[in-house]
Amino acid sequence: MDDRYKVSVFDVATGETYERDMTPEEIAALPEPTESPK
Amino acid sequence: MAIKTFTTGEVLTASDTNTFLANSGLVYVASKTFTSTSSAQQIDNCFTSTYDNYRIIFKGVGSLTNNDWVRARIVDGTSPITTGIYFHSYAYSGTAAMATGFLGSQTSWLVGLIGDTATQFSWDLFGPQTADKTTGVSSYMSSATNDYFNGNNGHLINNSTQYEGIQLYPSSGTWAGTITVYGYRKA
Repeated sequence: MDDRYKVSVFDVATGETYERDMTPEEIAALPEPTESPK
Repeated sequence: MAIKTFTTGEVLTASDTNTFLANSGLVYVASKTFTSTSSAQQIDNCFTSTYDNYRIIFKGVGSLTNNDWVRARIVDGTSPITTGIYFHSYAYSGTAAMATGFLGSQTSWLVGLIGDTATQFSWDLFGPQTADKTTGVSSYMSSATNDYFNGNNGHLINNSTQYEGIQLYPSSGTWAGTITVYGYRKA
């Protein structure tokens, strides 16, 4: 499974680390390749 | 400004030592180390009223043989803002001719580059938790098999919303390393 659509979160307030799926909004806003420096 | 001037032979007490440690200029807040992944890395609740301004350090390596951008989004609650609130400018050079530009109303910031040899950036973020504009400047160097760049980017969110966390992710490929957040002591 492509972990590009996952988020690994560390919460400083609770000390908890967990993984969640990206929201549809986060996925829709993934980068455009035209901004690459190459 | 010195809190206390010590004289020759004077005993350095635990109290004095603790005061000086607490009053250091740059104070560790949190860090996150991760092994090779393409996942975004997010640190929640690292921005609080304790500090106004922060330094974020990344040191690591990616999988790309040609450098690509590391991106960032600011977190409000537990999810990052994905709307077009991000403004940034960039200037970098290296194995290719110098490139400069400005991008407004983006869905993420460009904060550094990542390649398969060595990557690092230092990012000062000003006022993410204060009720005024959030701004920043990053300085970066990244080497990959086929190219090498260093540069500086500027960042702006043109609103006064208070944010409490940050999310970083590579534009493509995988990455590994450590993200560390420090706070600048206010007084």
